[in-house]
Amino acid sequence: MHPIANSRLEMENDLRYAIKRGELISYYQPQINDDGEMIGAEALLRWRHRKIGFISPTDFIPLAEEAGLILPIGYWVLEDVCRQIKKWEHKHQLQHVAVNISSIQFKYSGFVETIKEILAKTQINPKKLMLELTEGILVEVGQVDAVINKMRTIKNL
Amino acid sequence: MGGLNGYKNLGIQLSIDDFGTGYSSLAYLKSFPIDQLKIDKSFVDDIGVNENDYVIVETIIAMADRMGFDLIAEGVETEEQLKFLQQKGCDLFQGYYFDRPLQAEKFSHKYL
Repeated sequence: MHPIANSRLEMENDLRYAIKRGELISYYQPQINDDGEMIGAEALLRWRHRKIGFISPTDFIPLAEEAGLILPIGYWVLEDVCRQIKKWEHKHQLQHVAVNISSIQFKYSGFVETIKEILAKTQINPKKLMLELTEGILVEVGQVDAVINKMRTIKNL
Repeated sequence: MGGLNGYKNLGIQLSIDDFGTGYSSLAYLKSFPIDQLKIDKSFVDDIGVNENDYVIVETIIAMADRMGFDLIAEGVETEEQLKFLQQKGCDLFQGYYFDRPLQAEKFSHKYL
């Protein structure tokens, strides 16, 4: 069954409750160096809908954007991944875990506070967290200085 | 490889996803405190298929190297792609050639 089979509204509503129902799951894809060793991972979000099954982010992220759910979902992912980083903190071969940050999240005025809060909650070494930003963030017309400042602030947390 | 501007490894790291698909100018790139560039899958897909695209990959790798950014290729699916990327000097990879995304427990069991 494809998401299209459910009404858009119904899907938006389901997505709203997906966090509470534990239907969002972080998956980890290994990153490999020249010697074939795993040195890091990228966290990728999956939604396991209780009726439909797995829905790909390419389908539900646009839905989340339209429904204004990117921020809460982004928060959940960041916290979930940081908790996992904490569990893996003694595995030194794992240098970092990368998390995708949407441009909506990055632009949000509370984004720095969000990261600060999650770092405080999870007590991870910030060095183990990598944020993957889209190239579009770099080309916001007239925003270059603000973007650079925000990046510097984040890197100094 | 350390970043030009010396931000590397101090705290949270920043990577630019899907690199090469947007319009960021090289002159600008230098001023951002970025640690890593991630070559977009679409360029990797065309290695051995579309000559124009592998020229782009070559250029991105050479540029990242000169500018001191770490580089990773995503969407690596074949040995041919891996060999090409390695030859050109890219030294981090991600893709189905190695493994698919795994749940934390499986990832842990297999790699940690």
